[in-house]
Amino acid sequence: MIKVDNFEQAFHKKVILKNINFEIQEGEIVGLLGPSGSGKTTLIKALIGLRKSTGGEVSVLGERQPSLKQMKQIGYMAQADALYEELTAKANLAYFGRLYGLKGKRLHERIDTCLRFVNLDQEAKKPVHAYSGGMKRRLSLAIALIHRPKLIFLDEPTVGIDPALKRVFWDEFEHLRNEGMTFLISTHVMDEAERCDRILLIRNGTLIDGGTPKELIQQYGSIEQAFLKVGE
Amino acid sequence: MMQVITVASRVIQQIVKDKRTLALLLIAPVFVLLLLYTIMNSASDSPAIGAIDLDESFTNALKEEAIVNEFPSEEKALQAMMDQKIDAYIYMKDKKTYIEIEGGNISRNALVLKAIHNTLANVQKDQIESMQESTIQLMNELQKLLKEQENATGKKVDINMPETALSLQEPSIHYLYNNEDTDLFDQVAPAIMGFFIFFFVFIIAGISFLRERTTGTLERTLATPLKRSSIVFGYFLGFFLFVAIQTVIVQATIVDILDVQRIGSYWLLLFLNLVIASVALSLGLLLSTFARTEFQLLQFIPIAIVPQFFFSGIFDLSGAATWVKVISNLMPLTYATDALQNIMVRGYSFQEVSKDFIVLASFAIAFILLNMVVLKRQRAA
Repeated sequence: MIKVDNFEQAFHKKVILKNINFEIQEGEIVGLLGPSGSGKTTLIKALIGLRKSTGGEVSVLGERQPSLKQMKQIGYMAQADALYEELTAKANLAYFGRLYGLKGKRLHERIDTCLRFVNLDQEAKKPVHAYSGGMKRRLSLAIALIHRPKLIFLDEPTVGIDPALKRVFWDEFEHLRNEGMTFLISTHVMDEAERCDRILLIRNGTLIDGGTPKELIQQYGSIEQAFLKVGE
Repeated sequence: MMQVITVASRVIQQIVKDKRTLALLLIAPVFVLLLLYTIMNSASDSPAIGAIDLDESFTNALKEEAIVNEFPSEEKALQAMMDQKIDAYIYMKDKKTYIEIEGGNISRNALVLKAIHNTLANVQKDQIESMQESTIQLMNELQKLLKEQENATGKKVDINMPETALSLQEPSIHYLYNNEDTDLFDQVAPAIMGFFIFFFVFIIAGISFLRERTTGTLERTLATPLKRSSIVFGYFLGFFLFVAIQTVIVQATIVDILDVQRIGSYWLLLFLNLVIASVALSLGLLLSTFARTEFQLLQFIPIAIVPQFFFSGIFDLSGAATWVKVISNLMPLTYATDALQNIMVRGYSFQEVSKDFIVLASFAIAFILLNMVVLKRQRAA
């Protein structure tokens, strides 16, 4: 699904990411684990095609990025809720759904399904500025899912939400993974990492290790230990 | 095309839900224009002039031109002037006329001078006319006398009579455009209309697009298969609906309500205003790319908007230095004002202002294309 080969990203001659190599297979949940400022968001933006890499090669769904061709099959939930606050949840979903080419009956079916999925179907007609933080996160997730993407990028999706909702999110991710969806989820929280199929550890702009949670725990004692030791 | 409509309809929904923005777009220009109109027409056009012991005929003539207050002494008049109750006073000393002017307000000064000038002209005209009358009377009597003498003596005396019919007729003045009732507001109205349409559209389009960037919705929108051109055109189309309504309102306020004269076609004027709004729209979208916050966007106003107002032909630049004219030629509002004045005041047709239209349209197209290029910073593909 994703192949990253010797990727490098620089801004104004300052190298932010370098020597990044990894692959992601269909139907896995891959966690991108690293502290704030380690380059997680920059990497995700390059994978989506929002930034052009300054070195190496990134291919997603068989297309070299940046390209618009595979955008239809990619879902994205940004770190900050990028929502139109004046509009209702339904209007937000309809807008993004249409941009992905959905229309008519199919669009309305998808809107209803996604709203139910994130449990917002009762507040669908409220404007977003009346929403709580957790509701906004849920709506952002619904938008990322509106077009049934094959591959979905979630940039710290559970920041600022309570543990109960966090569990609901992860149950949903696993449910969708079992339907064949592929996930790349960035996080800096250790307990979330344990629920991933595979973890990529990122620090100071480089991938420092990777493996299944079990492998990392065996090798280092715990994921937290792995994270601290490899970074030294 | 579907994508353009999707973006446009979302922009429209947002503005409709945001009542303040809607009010700023549609009501604010009318309010400002009405206020400006009232202010420009609220100066009284007759000055208050004090008279001290003047000739009765002069005082009467002055009363035709100004509000005259008579004072017993110079001190009293000076005091009244210092209290700003009168703009000037006149007194005679040794058969010479003296005029003291308050001087604090140049437009009042001009009114005083004009009133005194007119009064003197009228008084002199009266004097000349009465002199002429007495001369004619004198000559008639002289001729009668000569006739009597001729009859008595039989000797004919021939003297040359001077020409008595002096031409005191005022010249006939005719204006090619406008007339003597054209006031300051009529003169600046076309330029003001262009400026307001430009200013309000620039601010609102710029801030809306900037907010997309700061809230992340622009990036989120670009993480879909949407083409960069579609978002620019979608924005353009969505805003254009409101801009068109605003333009109709501004034009209706100036032309229909405030009754500013308009010789050229109403529809041509509307078309021109829409083109001007398009330039402002595309410039607002473009400049918002170079601002990180609303405050930074407002910092563009002294650079991108205010100079346009100065250079656009609202002030007479016919004697300006070359570099000023060069700058003026780089500014869209220069062409906008030129075309607006030519249509409203001189009644030019589309062919006669087509050069301005072409330049304005080129500005808009250039800004749109540049916008698509700078959006690459937001998305590479």
